[in-house]
Amino acid sequence: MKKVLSVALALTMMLLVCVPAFAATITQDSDKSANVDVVTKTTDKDGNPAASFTVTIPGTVEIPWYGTTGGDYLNWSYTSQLEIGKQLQISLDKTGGALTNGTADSLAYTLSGDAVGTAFETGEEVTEGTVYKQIEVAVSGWDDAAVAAYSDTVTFTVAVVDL
Amino acid sequence: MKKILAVALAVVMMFSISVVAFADQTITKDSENQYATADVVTTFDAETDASYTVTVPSSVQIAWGDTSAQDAGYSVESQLPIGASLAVSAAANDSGTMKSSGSDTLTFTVANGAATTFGPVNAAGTEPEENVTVSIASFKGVAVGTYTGTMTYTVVYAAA
Repeated sequence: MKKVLSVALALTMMLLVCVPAFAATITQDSDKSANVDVVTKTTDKDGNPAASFTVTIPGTVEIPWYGTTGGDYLNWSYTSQLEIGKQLQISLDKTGGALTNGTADSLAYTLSGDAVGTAFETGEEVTEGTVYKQIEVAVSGWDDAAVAAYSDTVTFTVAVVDL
Repeated sequence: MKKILAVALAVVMMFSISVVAFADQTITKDSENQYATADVVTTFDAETDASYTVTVPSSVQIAWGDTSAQDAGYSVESQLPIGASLAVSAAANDSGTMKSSGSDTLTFTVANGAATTFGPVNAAGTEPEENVTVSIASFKGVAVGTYTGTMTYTVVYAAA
């Protein structure tokens, strides 16, 4: 019983310590000014984490037979407003491969540009508007393959990492 | 001897006049009036009997992205001498600059912070007609984080 009372008394004393934090007062006996902190949260009005980003990639990259004069590109972009000390990291799952059509024929292709081979890190928490990027897609072996629709899939992976 | 007695008699007569003012009044069957008045008077010490409490927020928390006016209101409770008053004001420190652990800053502004004067007696919870609010106009272009700025509430007591 004594232990229960001791714990209850300790809890009551702790709550008394907490109470003054709810408001500050200026009285005839105190300093005549009081400083109040104005503080931002890292969550929005609905309580959701406020940090955000958008990485936009095309669903399909269409390459005409023999390719486009001037090159074929996979265009992607990103924007971000991340927490202090964070950046985006974008990577691709391959540096090239073979475009196939279910037959024995295939067209080799290579990729080059940011995020190919080595993960691309944005280097900043906040982008100034949308940042646009290009990955060149170089297809070869056109003369050795039957004319058809060949395809492959490239996967982008996005992560938020420390700066 | 006669002079001494005369002076003593005069002093005694003076004291008799004075006695009426210091002693309780009595009404007897022989009193000219069957009533008497007694004044009921309050006394006070302006320094120790007057009191006031101005309650301000312990902090103002703003959700990220919320640019609406945030409540930063105060209330007054007072019991002051007749003619005394309180003036309460609020203002942003450092032009409303809010800093974080990073290099970015935000800015908040204070509305309705100009001094408001309150009379001697105010019930607990009395607020100005338009209470103080703070707002952040934009959260764009800065990393998400905890940014802190400071505002100061000031009370000026004017004696009667």
